Amino acid sequence: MHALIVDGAVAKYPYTIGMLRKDNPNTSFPKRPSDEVLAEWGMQPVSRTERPDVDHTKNVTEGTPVLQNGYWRQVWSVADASAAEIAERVAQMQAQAEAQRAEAYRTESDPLFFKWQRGSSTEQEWLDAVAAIKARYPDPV
Amino acid sequence: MSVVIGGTTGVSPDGSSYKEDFLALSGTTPSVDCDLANVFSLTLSGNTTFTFADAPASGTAFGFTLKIVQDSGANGYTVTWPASVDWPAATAPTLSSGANEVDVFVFYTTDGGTTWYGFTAGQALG
Repeated sequence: MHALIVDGAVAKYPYTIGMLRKDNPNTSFPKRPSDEVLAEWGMQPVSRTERPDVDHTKNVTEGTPVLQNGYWRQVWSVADASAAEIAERVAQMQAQAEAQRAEAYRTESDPLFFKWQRGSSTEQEWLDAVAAIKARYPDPV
Repeated sequence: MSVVIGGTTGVSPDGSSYKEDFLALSGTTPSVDCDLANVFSLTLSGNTTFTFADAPASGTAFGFTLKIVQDSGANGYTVTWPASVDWPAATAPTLSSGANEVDVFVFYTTDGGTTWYGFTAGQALG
């Protein structure tokens, strides 16, 4: 992960070796240019940072790398999501939870229900299985 | 190219062979002087920018061969060619980057150096 640095500022990010070649069509670059060679062309490595883990009410976007202690670092910005974005995400999460519960009912609790109906299991076993599934796949909000 | 009949370069007296001058270049801003040789070499010592000089006048064809040698430290230096060089697909070729690896390129012009056609003759030699 690299950035093109011009006059101490980020000119292009992300910036790949392919982009460097395209921007300099009269220059032959080696197959595997070293960071030292790339640096002479203004191409500086950008160290990765962990993307913030946020809930559905926030948006995370990657910002322009910053120079810290002589190294360029990846930066992230967190902002509030819009009401429409939140509503859409809640609907998706709800649908996913419902689908997961439905599959678990089909494979886990429904067989217990029919066993109970046939007298080979208890109602409590069926109810416990249903409760466990609801706990495993709760509604998101 | 200097043509010396019976000398070290040019056409032999009986016309049985043809010889060209060779010149080893140095530095990171070398000039390929068409008056001096037809075969050149350079061992890279840093990112390098070439100039091509003294091409014969338009209407006279001139070609030369250039041998590029990577340094023993395998630093993978770059080479910037004159803007007058027209490469296949308008893209300068990738260089070998191993220690002492050799790439050979061939160039020719027929318009006094306004346009040089550049070709890769061989890579990762040596």
